[in-house]
Amino acid sequence: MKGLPENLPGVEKTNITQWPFDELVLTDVVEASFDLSSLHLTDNSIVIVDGTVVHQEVLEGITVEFTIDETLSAEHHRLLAINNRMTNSGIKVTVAENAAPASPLSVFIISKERSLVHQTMLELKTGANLNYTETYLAQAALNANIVNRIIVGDHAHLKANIISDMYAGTTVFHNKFSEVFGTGVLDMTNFIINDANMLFEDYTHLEGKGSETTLKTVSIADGKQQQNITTQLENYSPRSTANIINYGIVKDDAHLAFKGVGKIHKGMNASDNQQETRLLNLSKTAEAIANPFLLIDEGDITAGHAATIGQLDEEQIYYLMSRGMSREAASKMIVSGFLTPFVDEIDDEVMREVLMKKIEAKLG
Amino acid sequence: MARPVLKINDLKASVEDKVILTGVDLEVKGGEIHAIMGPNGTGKSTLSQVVMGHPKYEVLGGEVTMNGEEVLEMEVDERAHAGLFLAMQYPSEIPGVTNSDFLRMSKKARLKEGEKDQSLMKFIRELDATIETLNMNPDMAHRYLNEGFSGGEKKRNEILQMLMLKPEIAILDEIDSGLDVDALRIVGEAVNSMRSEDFGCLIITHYQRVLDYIKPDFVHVMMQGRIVKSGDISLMEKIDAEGYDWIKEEVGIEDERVVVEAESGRPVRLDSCGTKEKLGL
Repeated sequence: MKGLPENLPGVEKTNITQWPFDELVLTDVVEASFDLSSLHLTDNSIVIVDGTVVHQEVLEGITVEFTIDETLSAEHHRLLAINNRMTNSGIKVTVAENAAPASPLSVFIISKERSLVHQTMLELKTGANLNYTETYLAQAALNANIVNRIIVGDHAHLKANIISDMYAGTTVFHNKFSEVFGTGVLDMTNFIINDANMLFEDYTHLEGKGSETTLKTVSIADGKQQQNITTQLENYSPRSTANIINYGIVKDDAHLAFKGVGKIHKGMNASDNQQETRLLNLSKTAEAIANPFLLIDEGDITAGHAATIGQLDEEQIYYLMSRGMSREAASKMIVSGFLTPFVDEIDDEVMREVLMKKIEAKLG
Repeated sequence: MARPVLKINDLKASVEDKVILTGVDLEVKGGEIHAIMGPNGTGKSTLSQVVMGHPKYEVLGGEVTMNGEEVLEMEVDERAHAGLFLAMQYPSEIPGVTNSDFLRMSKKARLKEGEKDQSLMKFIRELDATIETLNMNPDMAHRYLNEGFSGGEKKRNEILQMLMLKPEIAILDEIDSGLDVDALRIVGEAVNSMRSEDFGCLIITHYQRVLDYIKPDFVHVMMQGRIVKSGDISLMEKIDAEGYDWIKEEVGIEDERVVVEAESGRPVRLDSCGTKEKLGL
């Protein structure tokens, strides 16, 4: 690949220098065919397979374009440049001013025969209100490069669940960048429940006075899986409220590094930036890393962070066993309960069930 | 069903190399309610945890049998299957696991060979009715197990589990702490409703107020990690009026305690701090 910057993104705690981000299969797809019955589609759903739209039915107030922006990302490093220049799948969703679609919009982005180099642009105009789910689903051993850009306007409210169901053993770069304006509210959860090696970055700028963001990220790493996840919320306005929550489970020989960054810029008084990282390490040979940062350049603010890395709590196991459950059943219940509260916040029941099944399958 | 019987014989145990139980003898049979009283730090809670099999405690000697079966050899879940139940002083909080799922799983795990599982509908009806009996909030079934429960709610939830799981011998450890008078009465009624030849109960307390609602058949006083005096309800009444000093004098004890620090370790939360240099501030 000629003309691309050589440098990879700066990553801590995980050695990504040998990750095959460049190994992308970018052939033309002759005909995208897909069995839609395997997906849970509603009156507000979009399905894109290998860059081709195979299903589209959306509610009033939502505009959808299938477009690619070759200048979407500043090319700080090779992986963003790849996304700009080789995009083969793109969607732009706009929710009109004050529109509030009655049911959640569900978007499926599927990779079947070629590598996904995808862009999603999602914009909520002033006063819009959207409940949104974006599911990435890879059905073949193909690496992927994904970029999301999200804008939440003044008075707008976005509740988003991003579900990453990438293919086992592949290498995935997933970069997200959101901006929240005015008194906009962004409430987003990333579910990284897959068997891929992930470099996942989620950056949000709180641009509006009174803007709020809660960013939750949930991950399970098992087998020989490697995951490096950065979630960063920056207060770029006074009276903005940021909340980072990172929960992870690590098993077997897996490596999971969570970096949470809260940053309050100078002059952004009366802002709040909180973060909580909790990791559950179920194996002696697994690596769980919590790497929290709180960077504050203003006095009149509130901020806090907490990070815990622990094993299964013997007290909890004892309690469940004292009621008759076996050690195995008790452990299983506690571990899946660790992530259940995040899944329970998804409104769609079928989606909750699908995700819970994936979580349980991964926990074994 | 034969009357259940829990026998504790010269039980000695330690925690973190400190000997707490120095030789406990006790027998609880179906149809009987026993109360163990005694000041704080005399080993009462330790006794309940050792019988249930808490991993922190080490048994140094003695025997515990449930219906003739050796309990100390059993795993914790096997003790539950044998008919033992412990209403804990500090029940664990388990996020993400609903009360209802937890109870259903526990009930399933307790099925004897060949026994059929209760239908889901029947289970839900029984749970709802029991929640109502205990005057608990109906949403209790769907809340995560003990998470965010008040002290009183946790205690009632322990009793809820006892009523649902129907053990043969139940140990209630400080069930009265954190309960107001109304709740105390409800818990008392719940325990009384289980009174039968098939159910024995051991109540551990250092107040006698719970015993205003549950009349014990036997009262024991624990000091220095063993039972130093046993009697009937008149023993409780005498303690109520005169305190414990006369017993100490009688058995020649100056300091009744074996545990000086608090018995239960609370969870510790680790905080760590980022560096300001990282992003060039």
